[in-house]
Amino acid sequence: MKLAKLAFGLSAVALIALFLAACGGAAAPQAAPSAPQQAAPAPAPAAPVPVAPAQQPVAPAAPAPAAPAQQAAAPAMAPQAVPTVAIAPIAQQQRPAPTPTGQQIIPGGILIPLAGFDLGHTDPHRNTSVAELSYMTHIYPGILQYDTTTWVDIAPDLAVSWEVDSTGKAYTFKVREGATYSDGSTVSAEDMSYSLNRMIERPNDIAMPRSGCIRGFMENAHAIDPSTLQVNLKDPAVGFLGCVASPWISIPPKSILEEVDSGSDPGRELELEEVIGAGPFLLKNYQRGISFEVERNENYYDQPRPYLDGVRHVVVTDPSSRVAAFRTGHAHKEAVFPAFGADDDVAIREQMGDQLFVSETVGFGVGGIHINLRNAPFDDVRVRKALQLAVDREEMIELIHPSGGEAQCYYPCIFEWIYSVEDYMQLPGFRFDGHLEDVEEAKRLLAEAGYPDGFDATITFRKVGPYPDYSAIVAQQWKAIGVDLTLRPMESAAGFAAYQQGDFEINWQGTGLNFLDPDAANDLLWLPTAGRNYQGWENAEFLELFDQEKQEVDQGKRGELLRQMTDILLDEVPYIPGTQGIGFHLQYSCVKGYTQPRALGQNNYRFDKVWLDQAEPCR
Amino acid sequence: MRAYVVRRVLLFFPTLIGVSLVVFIILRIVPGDPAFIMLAGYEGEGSFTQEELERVRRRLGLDAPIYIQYVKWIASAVQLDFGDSFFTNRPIWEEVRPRLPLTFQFAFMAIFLAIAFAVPMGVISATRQDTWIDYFLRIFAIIGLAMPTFWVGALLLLSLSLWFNWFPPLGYTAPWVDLKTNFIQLIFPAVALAYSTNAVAARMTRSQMLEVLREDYVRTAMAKGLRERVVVFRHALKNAALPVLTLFGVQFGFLLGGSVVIESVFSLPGIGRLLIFAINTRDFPMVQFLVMFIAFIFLSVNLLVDLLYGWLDPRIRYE
Repeated sequence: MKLAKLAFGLSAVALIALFLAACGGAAAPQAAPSAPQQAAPAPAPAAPVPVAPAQQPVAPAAPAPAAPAQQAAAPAMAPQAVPTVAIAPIAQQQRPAPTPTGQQIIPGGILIPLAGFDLGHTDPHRNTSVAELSYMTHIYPGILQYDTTTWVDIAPDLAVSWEVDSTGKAYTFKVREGATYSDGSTVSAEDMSYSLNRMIERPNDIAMPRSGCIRGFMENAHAIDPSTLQVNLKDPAVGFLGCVASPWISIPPKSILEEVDSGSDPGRELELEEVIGAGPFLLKNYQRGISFEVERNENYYDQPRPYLDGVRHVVVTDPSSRVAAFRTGHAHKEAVFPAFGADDDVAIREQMGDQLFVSETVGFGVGGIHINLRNAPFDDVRVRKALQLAVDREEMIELIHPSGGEAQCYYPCIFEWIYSVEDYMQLPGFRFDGHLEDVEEAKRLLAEAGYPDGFDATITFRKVGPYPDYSAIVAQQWKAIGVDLTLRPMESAAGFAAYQQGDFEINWQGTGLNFLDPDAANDLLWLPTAGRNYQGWENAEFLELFDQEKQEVDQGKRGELLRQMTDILLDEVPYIPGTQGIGFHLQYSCVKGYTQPRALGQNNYRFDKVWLDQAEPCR
Repeated sequence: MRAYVVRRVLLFFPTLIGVSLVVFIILRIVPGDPAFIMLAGYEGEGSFTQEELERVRRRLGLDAPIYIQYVKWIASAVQLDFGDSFFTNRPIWEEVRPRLPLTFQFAFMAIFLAIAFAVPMGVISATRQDTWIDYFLRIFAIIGLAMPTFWVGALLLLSLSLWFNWFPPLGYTAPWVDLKTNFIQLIFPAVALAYSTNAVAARMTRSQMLEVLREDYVRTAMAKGLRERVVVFRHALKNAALPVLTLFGVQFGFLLGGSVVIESVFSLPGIGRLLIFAINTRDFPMVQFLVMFIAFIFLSVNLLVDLLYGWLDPRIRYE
């Protein structure tokens, strides 16, 4: 008896001691990094949660004057006033940008973003995701860049100016004077030409999936002299500047890359001491799977930026742990690549809304249903049209996107100068009102195609993200026209392999585009050679239009050509655009100078304009 | 004894070969081509030609018949050359080595916690059979059996953050850098991992103790007037411990396997997370090595347990 009491007591005491030791040792969240307190304290915003105004999408800079959006819309999709797509009320609340004009910027401090994904490769050309971009853009600048305020305008970076010759095939870039790498060497045209040619040659079979546009557009590059770079294109291509401004087209020192490509161990990764850049920050410490830390580059060409002393990304892989870590003040903001799911976003905003600055965001890409055109019944356009008509996007948004959502487009909807999402909302199948009529028309088309009672098919999807939900809902919706879908979930890599081999009937897959130009969608989805033309679609008229469009410098005319190309896609339906949710990027109000881009994509997340205002609610 | 050890060590090899065959074949049967992932990226963003795909497959040795690939791999492995990671191009061992201290420390902490609590719990339950303490401890153990490890871990983290507004320090600090931070970072994952093992072991200890306590020699010892503590610990527990020890031997392997999930929940960069990433990216050499490594540890611990039998029970002879 005594023994039992003793053992029980010891166990209880040990448990309690362990718990107290663990909690008590670090009960208080870490203090925020110190920064001079100069600015007058600003009143904390009151709940409900402030949301940044959605930035107006604009066309990427082009050599010719931009045409007004919707100018000369094709007859198939004449724009009209349309009902707004379902968006949560919170998205309509507005708040000034986080750095009001005239507010004194306070330098210093370490920004801590909370990431869900680690860096894949230390060689910046080999990475593939926005998550990895958010690490590497601190260190590696490009030749050009997307402006970090508008996120879409093309701006100088290591090149200060550029011009194109009369053929439209030769671009000349003038290299910025005084830009240096952290090893003290000067950035030159040689560094630029080496990186560009490397992306074409891909030595040692190194995969560089995100620089495909360079391979598509460029013939070669060479340094005329240390401060002048010439790039020769295969054909005139107006999308080239958008491609070269992509943050994936980064410029590490030639000397380092040469050693990696042709040294004693060709094709290896960069050692940490070889991660040398000319960006606003320099690599300080990287612990795989734990953290990625950079410190201020005192020799950054754009002084006095960056304002921060450094950035320390912390990696937390489990979604619920990330939420707990953010709530308990372990980070200033979520990483650029969303760290929280839609439900968690809502919960955190409800709980901590008065401490947060929230930016509304959607993906920069295309998501929906690839239809394998190689097999019956999907080789019949009437069947594909029927399937498109039977998708109820309003219901899909209600069921899947708790914060609201919108339809997807064949080219990202932010390119409103092609067709906006409102234009799509006028179309049968896309429109919310009139869905019942669309279903009846779908039945008629199926009957005409010889399937009056519908047919059985299989939808393949990867078991990640929203794909299982999308697939289950569309399977339910298509029952209305007699199409009985079997769900075929696949592990991620296996799914991609099946798509690539054409081993599917239809699949649901989203695609993030590699650079901010409509040709990014052509390059990845609609051309016969595109890596994600899983559907096996090819259309001669479309290709003729593409040949004109890609060379057309007048944006008005280019928009017209792209509208015609969209009309062909709408008519042929090789792919059915789905929906996308509106997400919210969360950061404590003390994080200034950063508003998540409205269209989250392959952008320039270097944080050179970010600063911390300790007078505001902070972690 | 020596002959037994030699025999057991020799038995390692057929087992390891069996494991190697299974993992090698399964990796090549499941869909997902590493060459495709290398060229197109983890998310399949890039495009490439068929020629490029074939060239990369050739370079990785994936174009050879599967038995040739297997023989080449085994031939290198016996020379302790485990190859390079498909994903990082670095030697496998260089990728794995920095993660080992965490995983092992973590597993040892979990097994220590499980033993430290399971044995007293089992003894108390047995000696206080059918009392409220017995019922309480049995319910506690059954809950531990019923709840998946990752769920326990997630609940622990949520409870800490919601009730105490506290979260363990992020990342991993080696014990030789800062012992206190290391302890705080690992104690909760170790508790989560230990709970189910603790539950199994506590129930096993209880049932063994109940059996032994009814033996004649225990009654004799009691009749001789020995103190309860002496009877329980010196006579009963030692005899009841043999199956429990076997259980811990098996469970150590499960703890290494369980770390795959719990490392993700607690964002710990151990070999469990590395294994998940390697599977997702079809990093064949890395997956093969890690599975073989875990199998090797599993077999080693079981051998050690078998040898401990002789010390615990002198009736066991190895000849």
